[in-house]
Amino acid sequence: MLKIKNLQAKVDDKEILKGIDLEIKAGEIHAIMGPNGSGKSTLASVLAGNPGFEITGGEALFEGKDLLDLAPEERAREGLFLAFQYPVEIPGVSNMTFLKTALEEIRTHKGLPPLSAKEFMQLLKQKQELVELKTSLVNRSVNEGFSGGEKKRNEILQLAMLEPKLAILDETDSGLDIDALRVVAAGVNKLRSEQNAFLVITHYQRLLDYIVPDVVHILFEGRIVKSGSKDLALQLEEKGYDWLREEVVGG
Amino acid sequence: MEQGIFNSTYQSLIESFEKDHLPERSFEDETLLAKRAAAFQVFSRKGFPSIKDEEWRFTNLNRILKQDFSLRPPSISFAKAEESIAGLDACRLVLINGVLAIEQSDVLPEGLIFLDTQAALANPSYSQLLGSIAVDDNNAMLAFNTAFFKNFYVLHVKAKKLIEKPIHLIHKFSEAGSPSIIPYRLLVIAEELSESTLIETFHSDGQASVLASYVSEVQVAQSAVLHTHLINAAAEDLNLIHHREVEQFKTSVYNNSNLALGNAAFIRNNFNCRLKGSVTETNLLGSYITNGTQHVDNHTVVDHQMPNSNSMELYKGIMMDRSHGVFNGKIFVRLDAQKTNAFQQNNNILLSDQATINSKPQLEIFADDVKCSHGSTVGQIDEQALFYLKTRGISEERARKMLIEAFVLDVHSRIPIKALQEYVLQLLQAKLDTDSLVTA
Amino acid sequence: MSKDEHLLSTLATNEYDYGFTTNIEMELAPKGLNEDTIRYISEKKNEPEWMLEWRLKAFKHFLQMSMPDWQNFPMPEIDFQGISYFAAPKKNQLKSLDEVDPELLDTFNKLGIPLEEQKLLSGVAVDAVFDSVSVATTFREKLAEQGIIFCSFGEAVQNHPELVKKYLGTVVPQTDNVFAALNAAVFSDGSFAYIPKGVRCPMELSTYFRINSQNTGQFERTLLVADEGSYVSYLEGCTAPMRDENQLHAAVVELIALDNAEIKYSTVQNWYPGDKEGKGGIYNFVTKRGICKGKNSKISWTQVETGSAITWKYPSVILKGDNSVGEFYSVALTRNKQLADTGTKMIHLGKNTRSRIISKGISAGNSHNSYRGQVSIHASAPGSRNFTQCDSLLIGDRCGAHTFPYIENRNSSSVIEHEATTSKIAEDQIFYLNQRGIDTEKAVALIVNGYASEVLNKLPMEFAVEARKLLAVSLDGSVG
Repeated sequence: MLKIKNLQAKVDDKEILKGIDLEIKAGEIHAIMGPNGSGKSTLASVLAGNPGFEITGGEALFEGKDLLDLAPEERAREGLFLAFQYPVEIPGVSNMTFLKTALEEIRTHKGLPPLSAKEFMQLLKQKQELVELKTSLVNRSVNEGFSGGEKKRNEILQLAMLEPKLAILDETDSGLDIDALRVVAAGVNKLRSEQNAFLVITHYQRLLDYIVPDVVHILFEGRIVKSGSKDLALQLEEKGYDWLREEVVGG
Repeated sequence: MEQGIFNSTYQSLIESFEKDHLPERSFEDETLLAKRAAAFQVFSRKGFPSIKDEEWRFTNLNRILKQDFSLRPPSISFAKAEESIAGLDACRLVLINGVLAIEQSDVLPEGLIFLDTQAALANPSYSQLLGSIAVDDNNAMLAFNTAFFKNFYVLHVKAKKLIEKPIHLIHKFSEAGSPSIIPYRLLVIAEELSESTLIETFHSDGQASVLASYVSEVQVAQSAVLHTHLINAAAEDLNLIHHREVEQFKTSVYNNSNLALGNAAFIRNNFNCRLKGSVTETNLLGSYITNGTQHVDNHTVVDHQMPNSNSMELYKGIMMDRSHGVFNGKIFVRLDAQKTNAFQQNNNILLSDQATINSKPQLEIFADDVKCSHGSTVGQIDEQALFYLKTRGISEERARKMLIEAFVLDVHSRIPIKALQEYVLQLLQAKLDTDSLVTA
Repeated sequence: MSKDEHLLSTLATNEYDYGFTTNIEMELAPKGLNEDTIRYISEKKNEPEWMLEWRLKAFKHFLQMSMPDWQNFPMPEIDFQGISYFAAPKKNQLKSLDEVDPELLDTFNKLGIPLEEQKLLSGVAVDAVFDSVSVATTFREKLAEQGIIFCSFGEAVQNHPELVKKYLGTVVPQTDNVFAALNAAVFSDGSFAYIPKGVRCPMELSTYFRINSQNTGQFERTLLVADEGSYVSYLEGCTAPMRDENQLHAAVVELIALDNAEIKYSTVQNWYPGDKEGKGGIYNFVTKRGICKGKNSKISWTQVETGSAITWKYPSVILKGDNSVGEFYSVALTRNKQLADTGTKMIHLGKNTRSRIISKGISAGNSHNSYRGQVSIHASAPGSRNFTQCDSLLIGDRCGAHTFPYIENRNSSSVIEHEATTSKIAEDQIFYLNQRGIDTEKAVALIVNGYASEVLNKLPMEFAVEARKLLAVSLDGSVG
């Protein structure tokens, strides 16, 4: 589904990604772990097409298409979804209007007719229950005045509504208490299927207790230095990132 | 059609220009005399500004000009500037009625020079710079000063010098016989990478009856840091019209506080900062506490011309009795000034139904990637806070004083020199030692 | 290419949807302005002598007044002699709607204002003004049942002279400004409404203004009187054909609210703005003012300004009655070479009066958008309050946003709060919406609508939907 080869990127003349290789197939969950500043969030931003980053080399294919050639909204319509680490507030734009517009765009791209108001409301209600988001929040402006946990749940609600092929969760666990974490993880687990895939970016092991990955990658100083099974995450939890530093630098 | 004031003071000034004033200035160089002639044209055409001039809409000079002020060669009387700031270790320079009193002034530290008119004119670069920082053909008061100023001083901080000891310039106005109009001028040059502090205080002896026209032009060169403070502690015999024009170059920092805490009958400040370089920083603080029939008008301009500069402006005022406060703050963000951060706040408290405040904060933005905001409030002492203090046994008067002090503390606490802060607090407390607080 | 350049690279004017002209036989006054012009208008309208005299007095004032010079744009040369001051469809004296020229009905249909009552949205009564005259007023019988008078200004002069005489010019005096004086001299028609004591007007009243003829100006006059304890919500819309020349629109609106009455006045102004080079478009110089004459009365202005080459208007409220309330909600969008200098005045004279100002400016292209507002609390108004929030949004780096508030307080128990911000649309907001599949142009429209929503929510339902569409359409092409 996603094939990344030697991807390099910089921001403000600082090289952050120094050559990433990664392949994700349908039905898989991949986790990327790594210390602060290793480039995890940069990778997420670059894949989603954030204009603040400059690609300096490499390629990324999404379902065979050159991802880096597409505008951010085209990537989204092709089925790439980013759950933001810090979802932005958009005053005055109701969550409902926002979701309806986004869903319409994506359905149009897929050649599907727009949902009727009734169908949309039914779908929304169903997905809302999945992430246990209060109806009052759906009627409010996008993310405005939401708590940290509510913002993250709102991200998962959008994920559920838009049904992407590949979802990137950027530190979705940060700032969540354990109950909210369970809700978010349960949502993701219900949404996973043989047709879609997830890329979970996290600093901590604990999210991976709830969303069990097929493959764990360790990102360090802009490169993936180790890949392995979910046990790798446990190992990391036990020994900390210092172990890695010694291993990489020392080796 | 000009809508100025063409009264008898104006008439006598116009008559005296060629007859008395120019012959007296024959020692000046061509450059300066040409500037005077051009400025005289502007002033004679426009007259003193009237309230029909948008910039003077809320400040009526006619009220001041009811007295006949005359321009006479200033003489130093035997006045002595006793005023000093307790605990402030500074180099004193004393101007009496706009004239330097050398015997009352200290020797300056190395890296810094202060020149009087004769010495300044010996170096043509100064007379060239004079009048080239403050340029505005629509400003009749500026033109008046350029045409008529008698004394001109230069404070020059040399490159890369860090002057730790503040300079304390004392402006003292003293009995001058009959009502006098005193135009004088200062040029401040802070060269590259220098850092220095200039404190200016204004005083009068209560017998002065003076209309002072003071223009200060300030140049802050690349990477220089300049702190200035203006504290007005004069008695009600002083009417002051001050124009300050600051130009700032790349990565320079300019901080000013402008506090009207005395009893001067009339103060008009025009305070313009032109940010001509990128990555500059400008902080402007102001406070005005007025009572009786005082009139204090602060006009400020912060003009962002280049990218990535920050400016902050905070002015607070308290009006008592029949006094009148004016705040007119303008922020320009020019086309090239992307990534500007500009902030402006003006808060006022009215303590009397006869007092007036006119606040006119303005934004003129021509660049899109900017963050600018301004706010203005007019209100009263917080009644709940007042009640709270009273329930703790504090008298009404004491409680009001505490809350007013707290209101302006926001401004005064940002003054970095401890001794100056204490001086300001003393002036504030003296000012608030009045019945006007309770009989609101 | 930077993001900003990308946003602007496809800048192109969206077609103005209302730019068509109606071919209909018109009766036009000869060009030019003198006493005879005024007599001509007055005669055409079969006016009583007192009305003519009032006009002539205004004309004398007009001759002595000069153009304002304080606005934030150079005042264009206006050739007052080059304008025809009266233009009316020839078939005009109508007994009923059936007699309205089908061409005219069709025009208003095209504008989305069907005049046949059965086709109308049931909640809205319309007075349709075509160039200088009112061509139809709907639902008048139904309104009359409750004693509500809603008719063209001309009819009011004929049928309700006592009301017109009592209130005309009491809020906007003839000498207020040069355009108000001109209007008083040459106004041709407009709307009149009177809501009797204690009546809550059961439907929205609305006037739709259409300029059609060439070389004419439009000078309509609206007078609304809400008697004690009454309520009315009034809507106003306007469009004009696309023409290369500039046309002058100088209207006057006067609102009077007596004790406990409330008037809600909403405008969606969409006069032709000129093309993207700034050629053509309406010069919109309008004086709108209301007086809260009685205690506990309320006047609320809501405006969405997207049209006109130049907009110069300051809908204001004089808060004379104790405890009265004035509100001003405004969205002004300028693009291409449009100029807008607009805002409000809140004059607090009565005790415990309240005012609230929410202004949202949006500048795009090469346009300049200025907010100018005055809040003045007099010594006679203890316990009064004002809150002002005034925001500007810039799209692109060739436009300007300007804020000129005048704040005056002469009273120690009154409070004024003013806040203003200027910013551009945050790129992270655009990216967030992009990431959900929404393209940049739609994203900007969504964000701008969200930015303006506090004001748009004040509009009556039918208007709010129109206004949202108008904002999205106006921005179309402003961004890539």
